[in-house]
Amino acid sequence: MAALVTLALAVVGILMADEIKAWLPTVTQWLLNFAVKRLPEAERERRLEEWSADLRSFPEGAIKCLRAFDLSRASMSIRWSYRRGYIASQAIRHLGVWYLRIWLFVVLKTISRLQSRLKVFSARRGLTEGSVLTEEASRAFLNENARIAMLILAKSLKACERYLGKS
Amino acid sequence: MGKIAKPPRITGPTLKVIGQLMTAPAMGIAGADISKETGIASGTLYPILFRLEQTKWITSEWENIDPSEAGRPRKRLYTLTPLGHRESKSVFDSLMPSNGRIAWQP
Repeated sequence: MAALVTLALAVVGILMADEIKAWLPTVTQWLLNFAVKRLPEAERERRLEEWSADLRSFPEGAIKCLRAFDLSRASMSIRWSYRRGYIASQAIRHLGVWYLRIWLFVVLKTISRLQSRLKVFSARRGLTEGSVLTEEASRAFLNENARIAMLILAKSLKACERYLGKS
Repeated sequence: MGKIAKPPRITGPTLKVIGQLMTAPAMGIAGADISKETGIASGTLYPILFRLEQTKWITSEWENIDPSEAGRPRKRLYTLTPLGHRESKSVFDSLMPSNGRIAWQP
């Protein structure tokens, strides 16, 4: 009885092995397609051809199937790198916009402060005629604040350059 | 994704891949061949090649064959760029103790 069971198991085992062997190429192809589908769209066509060629250089069987299975790990990693790169580029872009906004705020704030300083300056020297500044007062003020204005302008230009370089 | 990304993290498998690319023929080497030579699994190899390509250390191009005539898909051949050569050399130099000399002697 035991011998019969062993014989039956052996026959079933051989049949199963043959069946699995016959299914391996289909499973390999399915795994390859699964891996490629998980990639970003721009990468799919290239990777399908490249990985098909890769798998062809291995003999038919379990090793090839395992290699195809491992390709899904590769596609996941590539997709993650792709996404991380995209997020990083978006973050840089948004940071650039905020950097410019802050600079604009600083520039406007400085201009308003300069205007108030101009009023104090001219009031102290009695250079206003009514509420209007005389030409002499404007010139004196400009000489005093030209350096600050140039500095702000240079900084703003630098900020713009940096932003344009990043985007 | 067109921009040059930051330099890749140098790990053991990355070093093996770079080493293989440094000794590869001028026309380049396919991923499967690198895998066979180094024993690195495909799940590790292709992300490394992807990152090296992003950082412009390596470049790749299709094998110069007609797939319908050859009866098989084209291989993608990887080669080191001049930047890759420079950077790889500096990586290997930095890993060598005292530029190739024994760092400690009893």
